[in-house]
Amino acid sequence: MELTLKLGVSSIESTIMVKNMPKPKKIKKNEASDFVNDNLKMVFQELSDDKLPDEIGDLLRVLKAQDEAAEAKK
Amino acid sequence: MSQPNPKDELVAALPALRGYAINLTRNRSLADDMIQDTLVKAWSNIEKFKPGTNMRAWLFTILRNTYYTNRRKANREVADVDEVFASQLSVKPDHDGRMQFADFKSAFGTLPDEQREVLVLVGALGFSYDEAAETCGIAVGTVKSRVNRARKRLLELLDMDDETELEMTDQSTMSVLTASPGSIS
Repeated sequence: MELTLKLGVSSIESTIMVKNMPKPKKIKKNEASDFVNDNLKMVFQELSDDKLPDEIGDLLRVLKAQDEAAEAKK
Repeated sequence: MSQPNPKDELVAALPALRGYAINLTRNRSLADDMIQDTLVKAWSNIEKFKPGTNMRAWLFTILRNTYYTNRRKANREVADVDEVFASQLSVKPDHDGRMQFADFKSAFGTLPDEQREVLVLVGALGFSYDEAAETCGIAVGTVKSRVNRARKRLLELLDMDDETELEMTDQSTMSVLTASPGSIS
């Protein structure tokens, strides 16, 4: 009896929950593609916006100096 | 018209290379190590770059090969130790757009590495499927299916349905689709 009652309540609750559950937003395929691409561009922009670390700048200077030295030797 | 100096092109591509490296490794320190290795390799092999072709694709290929070779050697998975994609989640959003973007980043971070990689190339950087396939060393069809699966998964995670475009359906089919079952004889 107790089990039946619990099941009944649970069933009503679950029905209410399903009815109140937000439905997925509908979006057209081309809009979905644009939405994903626009956000991807922002994600990538964020990743690329960081200032390059000093070590990379230092390495670049060394490589350029080596080129200049090689040019001078010619 | 004279071709730009490839080394200047290389330097100009470094910020994008860093973005690609962070996306690939999910770890800024490791990404910076990869960039230094890539920079040295690309600089010393610059004569192998074909002027007029895609410098970013060339650099990404070198970086990608370096990364996977090192990873195979180390035989370890690299975790999101930097929380590159999850970091924004702790920030309280100040408006819907920001919240949506934070949700997007979070969802994007859950995608498998191989899907994230091609999605960035095609979706963010505008690579053609062919260019992405060449950069990743995989078949064009594989790129397409990974991109499609990744887009679909992102929309699922964001609770968005990409509905079928009924506008493209012809009028007679449309009338059948919208008719109530009893009205069709």
